[in-house]
Amino acid sequence: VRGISYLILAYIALGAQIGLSAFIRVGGSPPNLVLLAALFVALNAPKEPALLGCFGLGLMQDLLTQQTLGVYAFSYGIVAMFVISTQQLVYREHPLTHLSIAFSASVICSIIIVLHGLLAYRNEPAMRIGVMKLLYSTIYTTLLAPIVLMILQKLKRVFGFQTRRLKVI
Amino acid sequence: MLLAALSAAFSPRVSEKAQGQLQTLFIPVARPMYAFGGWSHDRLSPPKLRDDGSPHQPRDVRELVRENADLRTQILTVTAELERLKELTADRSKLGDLSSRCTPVTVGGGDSGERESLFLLSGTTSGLRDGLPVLCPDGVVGKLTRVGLTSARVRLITDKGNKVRVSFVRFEKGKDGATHMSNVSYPDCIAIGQGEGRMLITHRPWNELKGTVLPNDWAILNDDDPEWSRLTYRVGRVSAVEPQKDAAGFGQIKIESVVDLTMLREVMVLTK
Repeated sequence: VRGISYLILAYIALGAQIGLSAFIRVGGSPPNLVLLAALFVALNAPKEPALLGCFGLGLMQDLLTQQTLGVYAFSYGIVAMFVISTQQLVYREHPLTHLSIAFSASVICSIIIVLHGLLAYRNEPAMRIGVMKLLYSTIYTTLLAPIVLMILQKLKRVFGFQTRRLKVI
Repeated sequence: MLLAALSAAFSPRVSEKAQGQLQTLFIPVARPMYAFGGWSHDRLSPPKLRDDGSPHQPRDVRELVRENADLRTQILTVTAELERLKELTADRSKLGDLSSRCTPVTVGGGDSGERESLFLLSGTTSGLRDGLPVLCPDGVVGKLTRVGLTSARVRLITDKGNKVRVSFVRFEKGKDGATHMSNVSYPDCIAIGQGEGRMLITHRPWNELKGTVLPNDWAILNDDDPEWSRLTYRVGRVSAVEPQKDAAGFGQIKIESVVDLTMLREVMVLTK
């Protein structure tokens, strides 16, 4: 993966997330644009760069939220592991792939956020993020996935992803 | 990954310092995005006019002009009274105009996660520090956290789990037709943030609550916490007073922010 392209993608995705999220909420929940950027990286990059790239995106998102540091970094790491395991089985350009992967990834993130709430705020239930809010966010992110990922897939060449090829003897 | 998981579970405060400094890096892209988002939001859904004096039935312009004239007269009287009180207490800074104690700060964005916070484009170099109250003309916005050199974050007062002590006041039309403010004789309560601009007060005895606090009363910050600087300022309006479903004999008070705090373009930090 070209580092500079990755950084520009991260920068724009995070900027859009903090800049636009207040104005594009549905049911009080914004879409997770950074997760879509992470999915794009996980779908196309080889294993190690994909893991590192997603973890990095999560870490940067953690820096720009009131939440505890590490929640998104950990979530996106898990998401990357899941997407990488399905990389060879799915057709990366297909909108249905984008829909299903975005939904699964968003559900994984939501589960981790809920578990984090249960663990970190054992004695303060009022501090926990509501499940309905996460559900709205999941649906919203899933619906946006085919559009955002289609645009990003068109720009794939800029990122110089190196896919592994099997050696035929 | 393991470190991230441990950090998330134990939430070390040491990372907040780093977060305060590093979030500055995103100002060049967050600021134009936020400005563009706000501009397009205003174009697509212009802000609705609000009439605090008559929330159920917004009044026409003639009536408002008449009330304005009455209020101007009242302000003259109240200002004179205030000056007299200032001399008596010799505490000018507390009774002075609140805006003179505030530093205006531009908002550069929101929260990238599920929490409710605002990203401010000023930091310690502008005199900001952790814990300072943040206000807007329509009410209390929240408290500063993660203050860096040139950026800071405000945890919104309505963020989930945020607790403040509030009291209530009411605006009513008197016999002379002018609007008067009166204190609601009900004990101070702890309001807990619910997210999405809402706060909730629960477990109040229903027989005491019923008919005492009413919808459209104002909830006023009345917290003894020194970090709030003994500030008395509007938190929001009471949107509902109803029996609590999961606790028989108790009632709850729902409070709503008067403006959408996540969409503010500029806030005032109480620095003095």
